[in-house]
Amino acid sequence: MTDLIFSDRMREAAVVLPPTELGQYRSVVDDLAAAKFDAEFLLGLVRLAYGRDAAGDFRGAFAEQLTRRSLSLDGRAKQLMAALATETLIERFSRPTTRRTQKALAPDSIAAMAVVVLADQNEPPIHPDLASFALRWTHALSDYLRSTGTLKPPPQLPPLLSKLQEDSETTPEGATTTEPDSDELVAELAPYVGELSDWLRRSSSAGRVRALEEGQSISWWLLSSRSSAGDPAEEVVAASAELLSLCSFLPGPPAWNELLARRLGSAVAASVDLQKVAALSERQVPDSVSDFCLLLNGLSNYPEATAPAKSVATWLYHERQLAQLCESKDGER
Amino acid sequence: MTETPNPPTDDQTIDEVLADEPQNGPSISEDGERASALDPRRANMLAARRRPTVVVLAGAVGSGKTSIYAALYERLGKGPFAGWMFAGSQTIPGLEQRCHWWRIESERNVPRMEHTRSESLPWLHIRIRDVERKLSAKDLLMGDFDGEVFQDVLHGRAKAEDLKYLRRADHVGVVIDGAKVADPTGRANERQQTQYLLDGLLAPGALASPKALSLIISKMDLVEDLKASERSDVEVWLEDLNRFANARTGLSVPLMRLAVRSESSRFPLGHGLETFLEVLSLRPALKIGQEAEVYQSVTSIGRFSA
Repeated sequence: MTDLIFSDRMREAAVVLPPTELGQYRSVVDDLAAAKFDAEFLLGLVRLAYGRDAAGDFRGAFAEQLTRRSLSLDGRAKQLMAALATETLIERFSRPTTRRTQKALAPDSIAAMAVVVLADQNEPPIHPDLASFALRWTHALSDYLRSTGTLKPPPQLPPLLSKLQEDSETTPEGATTTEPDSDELVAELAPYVGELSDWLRRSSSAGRVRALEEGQSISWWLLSSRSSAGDPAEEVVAASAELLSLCSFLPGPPAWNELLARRLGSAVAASVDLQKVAALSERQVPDSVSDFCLLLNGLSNYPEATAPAKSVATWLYHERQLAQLCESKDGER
Repeated sequence: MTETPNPPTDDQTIDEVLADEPQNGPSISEDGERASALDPRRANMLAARRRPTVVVLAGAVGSGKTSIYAALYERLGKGPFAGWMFAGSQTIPGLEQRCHWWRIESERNVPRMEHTRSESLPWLHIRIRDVERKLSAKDLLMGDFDGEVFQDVLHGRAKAEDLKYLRRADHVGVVIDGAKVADPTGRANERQQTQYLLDGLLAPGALASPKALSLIISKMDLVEDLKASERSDVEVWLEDLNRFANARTGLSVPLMRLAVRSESSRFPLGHGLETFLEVLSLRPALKIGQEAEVYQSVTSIGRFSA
């Protein structure tokens, strides 16, 4: 991230910051982005980034960072807190998803999914870049979890073993053969077994098998889904629930829009009553994300409205994922 | 008699607005008075609380920039207009001071505004609220900068990208002096100067986006007083200039016609400010970002297309 992009985003909470102050705010964000936080803390940052009230000692966390740099956080600097929270989240979502365990990534995945859900609800964050970075994080992580890699062919038999195999196939029964030296055989066999074991481990790793099985299950689901003739609201609820149930990893496959659209068939462009979808999909939601999950919470205090089936299915699918991510905590299904 | 803004009947009064600030906070100067204008530090503190719409009027000395700010304050002080009402200010003394020049000069029938000095504090603040009270209040932070700064830009003596507040501005209005446009001998020069200023402002990195730009012709009453044939010439002149701005930005740059403090009864106080407020309220914030690149999936299921 360049200083210019950072200052352009900070303009949401400043007029003209002196370069030194800008640098200090930047280092506050860098430190917060690199720190280890749990999901509750990051969800609090999401709330701040959307101008909502957030429980938790965020002011304390920011104030500590700012005081260390001789900056002060005005008692009512809500906009500044929101801008710093947004920057912190963007910085976290810009990091690579590789080289960390799913458990370590889980808090960021939950925060990113909360942002994606709010984007589905057309709620604007303090800066629009946040939604695109959250979406990119979700896509990249989803892809990384499903990456089966390129499997090389199994290792070639070493020459001695290869010759033994050839001899056993070509030598007539009862004929005498020259036995290879056992030391030479062991010397050749040891690395071969190591390579073979490594290849077997890669080809049949639990993650790889689960990803392949997931892909197969989703393919059959799409092939066997009936042409939608039923009520669009029911189709929307069924499609989002079915796709989620087939996911081996969270977040679900990155092409969720396309998968749901295919499943919805001719109902994809139908106008769907949000209240009806909410009534059909209402369920218990973890407290930590209940304010994000409007549909799962029955859309109480929400005006009556309709929306295209594809958008509602995506929205509901994301809410369900957010709830599941929170319930699983470590990001595992 | 000195006019002051009507006390807001809104749910947030001026006193409440000021009470919204911390004790000894930035809206109140060290001696406990409201500030005449805000320095960058105080403007930053205001922005840290609520996101203001930042407006900068750019134009030569005497083009009418300060008059536009003062007229906006004074017109709002007469009561709601264009759907908006006054809801407070942290810089009432500064706004009053600017209106004061008008008031005493108008008694001499020669309306004139004191030239803004480079050492003056730049930021004026007005909070407005829609009359129907359906929207949240909007804070306008208006940069009242010395016109010489912009003359330096148009003459190439200064770079617009060094004026950091321009990049922060949600709206940058290039003010064209209507008095010079009304004068056939000064028209060509005014056009050249405006074009040079536009070129300076559109230098890479100076503005957050060309979308921030608008053209404002001040003292339009002087143009309206011209003979029909001359008015027609001015219209052609304005269209040409607008075309130039559109071509340079690749956008349709709004052109506003103001006669905020006319001696003619045909132009009431703040004439044209309705359009100005409309432009500000239609796009209160210019959010320029750098979106994340679209992720290209490497898995086959990620590349699925319906």
